[in-house]
Amino acid sequence: MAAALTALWLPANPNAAISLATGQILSALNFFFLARLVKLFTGAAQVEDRGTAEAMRAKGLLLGGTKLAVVYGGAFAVTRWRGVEFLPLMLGLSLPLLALFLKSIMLAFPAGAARTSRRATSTASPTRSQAKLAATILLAGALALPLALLGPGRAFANDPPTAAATTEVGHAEAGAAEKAQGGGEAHLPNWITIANDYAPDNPIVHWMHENEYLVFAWLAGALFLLFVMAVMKRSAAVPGHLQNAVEWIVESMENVCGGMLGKHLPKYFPFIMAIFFYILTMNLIGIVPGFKSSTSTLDTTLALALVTFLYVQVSGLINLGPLGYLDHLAGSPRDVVGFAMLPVMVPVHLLGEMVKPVSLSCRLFGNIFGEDTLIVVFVGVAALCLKASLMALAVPPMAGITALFMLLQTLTAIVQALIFSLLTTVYLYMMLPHEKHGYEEGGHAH
Amino acid sequence: MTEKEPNKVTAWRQIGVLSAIPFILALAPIVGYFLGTYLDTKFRTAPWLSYVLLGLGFVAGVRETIHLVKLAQRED
Repeated sequence: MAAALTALWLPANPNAAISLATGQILSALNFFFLARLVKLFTGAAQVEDRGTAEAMRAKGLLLGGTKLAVVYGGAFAVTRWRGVEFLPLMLGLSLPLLALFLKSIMLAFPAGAARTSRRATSTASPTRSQAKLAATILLAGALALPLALLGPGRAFANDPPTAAATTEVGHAEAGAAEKAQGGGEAHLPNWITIANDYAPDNPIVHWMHENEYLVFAWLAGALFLLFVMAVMKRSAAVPGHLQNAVEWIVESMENVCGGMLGKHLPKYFPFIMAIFFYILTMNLIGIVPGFKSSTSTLDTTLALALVTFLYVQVSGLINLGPLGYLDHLAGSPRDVVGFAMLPVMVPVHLLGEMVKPVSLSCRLFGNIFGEDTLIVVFVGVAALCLKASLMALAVPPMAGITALFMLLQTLTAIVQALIFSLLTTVYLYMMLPHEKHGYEEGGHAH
Repeated sequence: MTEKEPNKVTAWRQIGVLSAIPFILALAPIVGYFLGTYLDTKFRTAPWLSYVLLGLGFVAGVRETIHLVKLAQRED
């Protein structure tokens, strides 16, 4: 793909083509060394012999040093070149990451039996339908992201009359897109937007309009609370449909989280389930016409991720004790080399911890925002057809494609809530005292 | 507590954990760079801390990747 893009760009813009190719080469080299480092250190758990461990550490240092010199030195040299174009360079660097994301999702399918992931695929057998479903949704989300990032406004930007029509129908038609909060983001109108249209001078409505995401987040919390209270009130020895459904969800989550947390599960399960249900409610609420997913803004997802981050760190501090926690932050040094590496390892570990909430929030935001924007795109197309009195063209996208994407959004909502809570479990697991996770080996590679 | 189902647990965890790797790899240097830029402004050390933390961000990304792969390969 990168080669094809380079070939296309070369005659018109040689600098862009060279930047893209360079980015691709650097990324390929990065993955070459990364694969070797991962392979080297993921076999470390089985190595007990001190001599072998020392040899492995030396090999890791050599690989890490070569990677540093070749990849990062190369990247630095490229940025010093006057003709470099950063967008193609970033595209070249990012394409393998996208491939890696797709490859990790493909683990659930028979096609995922890639050479470097053989051990992982041996456990993720293709017979597991739930994992395959999750992978399909993530895959659809990943494929939808470019379109979502493009946005309906920009998607129609090449066609001035169409773009104008989109804006025009925005307030007139129920299904049209509007530009909310002046940020250029496309949204369907919700009840707060409509209330603000009718009573723009009302301070309460105005405040709600200014803080839509916050209002819908509170609403999701209140709805979840009411739902739980209703279920608990009706709790019976012979469960009804609703109680059965809730019990099934809770038991399934117990299975998934219990595998990692073991005896610590009862302590952390309430938090994990609270996060799961809150995100699920916020995701699902956006499907209801007139409502909006609070998780389609980075503010909410980052707040959720920061709460999780703080909870994990405080749990680590309580579990490991102050000294154990500092030891964990330092990468658990046990020898002279380990202590000598402390000035490097402490910031590396701190950065690694800081990346976790950012990664959690970006993924949740990207998926929910992508799905929301997709629906806006298709509803916008349908509204344009209605505006042009093309009823025959308007009905299929409105009733068919939008419904299909709403179904996809429902599934994405569930999968994203599940993955967020699952990664929270993983991060909590990393902070448990029994864990000997071999950071030392990975750390000493650098 | 119910009995856990090992295969289902492992499959879910592998998808969740491994799909986090590209995000970690991409975001670690970005977070490092922005943190470095902030510290540079604070301590007037521009551009050194941003370069150093950018480099450390790359290292942190690799380290987290190795850790995540280990977690994904762990059998319950």
